[in-house]
Amino acid sequence: MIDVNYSAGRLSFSHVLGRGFIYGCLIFCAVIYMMPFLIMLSTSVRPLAEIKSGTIIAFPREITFDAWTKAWGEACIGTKCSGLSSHFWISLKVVIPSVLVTTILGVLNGYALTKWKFRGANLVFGLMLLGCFVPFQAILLPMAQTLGVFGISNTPFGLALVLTLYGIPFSTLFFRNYYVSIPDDLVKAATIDGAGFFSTLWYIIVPLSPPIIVVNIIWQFTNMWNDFLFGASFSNGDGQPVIVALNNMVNTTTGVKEYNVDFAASIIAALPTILVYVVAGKYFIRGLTAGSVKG
Amino acid sequence: MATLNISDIRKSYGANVILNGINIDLEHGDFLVLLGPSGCGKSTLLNMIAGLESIDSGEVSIADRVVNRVHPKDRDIAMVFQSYALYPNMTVGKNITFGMQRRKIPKAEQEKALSHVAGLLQIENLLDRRPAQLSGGQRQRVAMGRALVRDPHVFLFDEPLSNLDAKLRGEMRTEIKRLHQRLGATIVYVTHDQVEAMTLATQVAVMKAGEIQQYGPPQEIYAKPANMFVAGFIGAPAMNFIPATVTVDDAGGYGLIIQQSDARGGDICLSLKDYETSDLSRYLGHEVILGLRPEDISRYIQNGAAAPDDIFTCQVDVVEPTGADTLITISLGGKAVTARFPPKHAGTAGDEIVVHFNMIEASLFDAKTQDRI
Ligand SMILES: Nc1ncnc2c1ncn2[C@@H]1O[C@H](COP(=O)(O)OP(=O)(O)O)[C@@H](O)[C@H]1O
Ligand SMILES: [Mg+2]
Repeated sequence: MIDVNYSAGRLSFSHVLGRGFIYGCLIFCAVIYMMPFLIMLSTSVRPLAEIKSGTIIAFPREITFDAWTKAWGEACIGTKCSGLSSHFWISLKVVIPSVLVTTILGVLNGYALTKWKFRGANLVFGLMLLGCFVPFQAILLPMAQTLGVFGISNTPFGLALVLTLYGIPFSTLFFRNYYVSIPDDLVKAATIDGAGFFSTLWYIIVPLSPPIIVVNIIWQFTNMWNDFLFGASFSNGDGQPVIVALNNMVNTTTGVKEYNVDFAASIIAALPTILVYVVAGKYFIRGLTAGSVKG
Repeated sequence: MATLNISDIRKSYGANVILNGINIDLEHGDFLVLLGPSGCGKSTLLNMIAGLESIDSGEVSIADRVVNRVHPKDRDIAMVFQSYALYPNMTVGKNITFGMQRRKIPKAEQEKALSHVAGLLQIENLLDRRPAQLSGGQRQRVAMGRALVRDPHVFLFDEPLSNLDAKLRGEMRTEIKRLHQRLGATIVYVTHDQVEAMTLATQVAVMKAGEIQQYGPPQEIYAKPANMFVAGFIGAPAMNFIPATVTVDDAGGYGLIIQQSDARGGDICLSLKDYETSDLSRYLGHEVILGLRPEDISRYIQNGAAAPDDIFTCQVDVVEPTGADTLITISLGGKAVTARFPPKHAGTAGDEIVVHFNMIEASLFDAKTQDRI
């Protein structure tokens, strides 16, 4: 690895100037990038009166968490005024099982497609890849009909099923591309040692998979949690996931526009994805580059 | 009892013929080396013995049991891979006992086998490490340990030493030989390194393009190569190939004439009276290829006794000392010919020397078919 802080010879003036310029640019970009979030954060802790009396971009003079409690438990969504909380739990109920199932299926698919190459494995993989490129708008109507036939329209289960189905192609892609870099000889050795399909998977492959499992979980969780289209199409009323509920809450007009409540609600809705990234982010980056560099 | 019998094995991928009728018969304790350039189908053959690759036609039997349709784990074989294929997530000890664990062998027995093998390979102090914490040579030992712990009917080695540096490779080679002598196991060993083949094998199968070119003890393959491919593949520096014409002398004995383009002494005549094939009438007047190993060319030093046959004068082109021997290049019949001399005979480039061809060790090849005459 090259140490960027090391350079032979004296630190010249132009060198320092160049460094300063680079860091200046970086800090500037970081501030611009963080600005909207910081404004949201500051607005969410300001009382509504203060916001209305001044401009929307300002530091809070008085800090209050009223907007947060209101967004969580009291804000009106349509005619019902009980905040985002119930929708938040629905999202968790829909997303967590979907993420788990796509991960497990991704492991199985990737493993079978790379280590137990059957006739036509590449064709199957190609078709699954195609699934990554299906425009979701195109399948809304047939999917709605299908859910109707199975009697699971407008249920969290139905929504979870749709999210899972459309998560599988990406999970398969992730795991397949990770597993091609695992030497086939490991599987051969395990076969001779007497391990079959599942015991090789369990004892050899899965222990090598944490980086890509983390990548997959972050990717799927973020996508499923932030999904709006399927949530808006295949759920209604109390069964709506938090992102759809957030949209409806912001659009529910009760006279005054409560910016602080709207912003607090947005942050609440975004919190789980931020949390997932903070907890697992370093594995995410590691996993994305794993395989390109030999450990 | 035949330990491993392979009869007429064939394999193709699409239109690509990878193995074209392979026959092998091994007795218990044999050390067979499959030797050939890379891509000739050695690994494919080994994988077919192991059961990791399907067999198009032909039969593999291990201990007199046809195993074509037997799962690898039930074939009573163990394999060492070129990449070692150690399980990265397991400790060395776990790597070695994984096979026994899958076979539900009692814990106590596993421990006993593990400590026996660890002692044999001197890896007792490594058992708790992971493969990533081992050097290349240590990984190699662990890979062998994983095979040895099984005590199978046949060991399969796929280029086990090719990832080691030269010094370590030499040491491990000796170690494998020692293990073979000690355990008396049957081994099939794949390599493209002819030195490994010569030093380890009791039987060598030289392969080229999916066919066995010659099958026999290493010394026989070295001394009497079946064709020019085998002759050129075994031995370093390689056997010299010199174009020559077959003649007959007044007494009816066959000889060879090598045409020398430079003026010195004119054409060279060599006697074939000791050659294994006594009737060369078919080749009379035709060109053949004389194969002679560098060590069968020596410097003739006058010592009072009558001069032997097959000596002639030539000029030294290049002198390459290698320590124990010195390699001399002379030009003969328009071709560079390498000889291996003791250093004190080497002389210097440009010297005129008299050399002697040890025609008892000569090989003759048909110039067209390249097969041994
Ligand atoms: N799965 C495969 N599909 C197509 N060709 C293959 C496959 N495996 C091996 N081959 C071909 O078979 C030939 C022999 O391969 P291999 O047995 O690995 O050679 P070696 O071990 O002697 O170097 C090579 O030309 C290789 O390209
Ligand atoms: Mg090979």
